[in-house]
Parts: sequence; structure tokens; C-alpha cells
Amino acid sequence: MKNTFIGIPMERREDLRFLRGRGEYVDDVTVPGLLYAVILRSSVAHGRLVSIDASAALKRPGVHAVITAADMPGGPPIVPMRLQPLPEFKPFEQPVIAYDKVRYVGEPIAVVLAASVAVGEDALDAIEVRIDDLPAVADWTVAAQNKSVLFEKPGTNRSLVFESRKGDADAAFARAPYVRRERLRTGRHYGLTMEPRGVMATWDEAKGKLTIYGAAKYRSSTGAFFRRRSACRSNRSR
Amino acid sequence: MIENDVGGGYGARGEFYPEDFLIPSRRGTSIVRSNGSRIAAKT
Repeated sequence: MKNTFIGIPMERREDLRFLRGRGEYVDDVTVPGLLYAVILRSSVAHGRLVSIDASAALKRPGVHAVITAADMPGGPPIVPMRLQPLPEFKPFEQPVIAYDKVRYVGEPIAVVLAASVAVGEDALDAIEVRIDDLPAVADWTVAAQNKSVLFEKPGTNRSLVFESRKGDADAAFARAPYVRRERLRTGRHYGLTMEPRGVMATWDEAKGKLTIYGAAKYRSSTGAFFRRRSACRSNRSR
Repeated sequence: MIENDVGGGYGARGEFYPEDFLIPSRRGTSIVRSNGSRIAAKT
């Protein structure tokens, strides 16, 4: 059987468009009246969110709004899991914005809507946030001790025990001419994309239509999710 | 939902991120855009 993929240069249908600089990313999409969202993120790995004072930021020219969890009646929605939505993970799903605690460095605390990114970033400095530090949970060995839990309700950092067996491992080791025991560590991974994460949304009040631009990867399922949450009637996605 | 060019990160982009919900949630505002930084992408 002839190999037609491995080691063979593949011409992609989009190559010509990209090579001509005609790629279109979220940052390329612009429309009149666009506001820029800049996010104040936690610099604390684990802490109790005591207070947020955005009054000074709101007085700055070009700042249209500062959104926190307090602006979301009933509490902020959670970020659902898409790939492995197991019921055991439910108590550990993170809110879209911190409302009582911060649980990782980088967690959104406030969103500034401003006339430009620069204005929004400057306004971040004017937001006063008080966080009482809690012991950080930086790796699984600390997490397993449950001395500091990220989510109080389940009372543990362990969401589930996953067991998988295949064959007779003990017998295989017993027969092996060489046995090595080693502990392996792997760091977290994230996407280092050409364009960092971005999203743009337009809301047409008259039509009741929400349009979202972004690199969501799963266009149809993401669109379906937003339609369920927002009760939008439109079901177009492209 | 209009998907623009992605530019890589296909595995890590498979899950939702807080920004995916924070930005479209502001209905009273007509148009909002957020572009994360490289540092933000690592959180």
C-alpha cells in the first residue's frame, strides 16, 4: 500500500489565502461602535474575594462599564465542560467570573468595556480588589491532602477515582527481564495559537439576534450551546 | 456563531473558556470584542 500522507507535503486548500495575508482572525473583524473588553485577572492562586471597587475606573474617559459577578443576578454562569462532562465534575465547574473566591492565577475578576484596549488596560489599574490569601493548591500532591480545598461544597479536591485495567500487569512485570520504576511529571498544556483566544459578540436588540465571532473549533455545538442558554431563536451558524 | 480562522491550538481550544461566555453575555451593549494576550492564553 502506497503511503500518501506521512512525509509527503500536503497542500491545504487554505494555504493560498493565508500566504496572501487574507486570513481573517477575530482581531480583523471590526464594526462601528465596537467596544473592547479588557479583563482584570487574579494575581493570586487561591483566595477569598472580599471586595471590588470599580468606582474610580468607571470615572475614566472612554470607560463604558465595569462588569463583575455582582452584575449577574443569581450568580455567574459556570463554564461547562464539553469533552468529558461527567457528573462527578459538576461540583468543580468554574464560574465564568470569580464571585466568592479566586482559584487560579488569571481567573477573571472584572471586565472593563472601553472605547479602546489602551483605555481599558489603564482602567484596570484603577480597580481596587481585596483578596484574602488562602493556601495555594499548586500540584496534585498538595491537592490530595485536602488541607486546602478549592471548592468547599464537595469538601475535597478529588472529583473522582478513575480505574482502568487491561491484561495482567503483575504477571507481565514478574516476567520482564528489566523493571524500572520512575515517577514522571508533565506540565499543563495550552494552545499557543497564531491569534490568542478572542471572541467578539454583537447583539441586535430589534431582531433578538446574538452573533458570536471566534475560534471556537466546534462551531455547531458551541452555537447550539449558546442558543440553549440565551433562548435565541436564530440557529444559523457558519 | 461565526468561526474565524483559528491559527492552531486545536486541542486546547476544544474546551470553553470564561471569555467565551463573558463577552456574549453583555446584551445591553451592542458590540464587544476581547482579544486575549499571550500571557492570558496561559492561564
